[in-house]
Amino acid sequence: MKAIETFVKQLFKRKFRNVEDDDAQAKLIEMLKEKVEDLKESGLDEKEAIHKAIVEFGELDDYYKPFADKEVRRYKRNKTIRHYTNDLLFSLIASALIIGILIFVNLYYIQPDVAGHWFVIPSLGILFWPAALLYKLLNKKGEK
Amino acid sequence: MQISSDIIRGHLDGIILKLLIEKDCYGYEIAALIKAQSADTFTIKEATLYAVVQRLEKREMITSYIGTKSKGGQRRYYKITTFGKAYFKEKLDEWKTLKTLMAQLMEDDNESN
Repeated sequence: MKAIETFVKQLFKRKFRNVEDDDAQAKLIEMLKEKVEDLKESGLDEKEAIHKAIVEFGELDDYYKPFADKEVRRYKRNKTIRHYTNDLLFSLIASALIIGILIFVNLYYIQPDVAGHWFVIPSLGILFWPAALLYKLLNKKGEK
Repeated sequence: MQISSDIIRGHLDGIILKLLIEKDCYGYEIAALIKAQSADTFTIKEATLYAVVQRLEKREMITSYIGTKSKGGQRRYYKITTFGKAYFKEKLDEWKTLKTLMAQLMEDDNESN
């Protein structure tokens, strides 16, 4: 059975790797081992069974073909989502800082008893920044 | 006549789901059943088949569980989900439409004549 594992691992070595490959690889090993078991039950000896399973499997290209485009698309989508999440985090921290400064200025320099709580108005404006990014992120996540 | 696998690839989802509606199967069993049913017209590449099964599982159209074969060891069986059944119905309708369309486009004297 070692032969099956080696065979599948060799196949995957030649392809670009992604996280889901490990799972796919394990599943594939399992399926081929089950096939070897079946063949053995039908009378083949282990060596013949392993050989037959490997020969009939075909190429890894055949394995990837059904979802090649989709894999690439999903990879790109995940990357964009990661970017947007970072953008959102950055905008949140930056907005908090700016609003903090505004509150500080409001309290200590252009004080509420003179000008009221004016910091609210520019703060609302600034909050449009993370809001816009959140909108983009949610849109991207909603895409199939 | 051999059917090229490119033509059939888009319909593999449906073919596999159909088998799983009838009964739960393990990976190689699916391959063996398709091979048996299609006789010599079409040999599915097992690599492709396993990929499709994995994809269907990822998309939650089928789920898997470890079961025991009637005589023999353990196998990972695949079972169709409600979502899978709905998708199959969609695929079946799609296929029926395609079949009619292709007949209209490629065959001579169809009903309209």
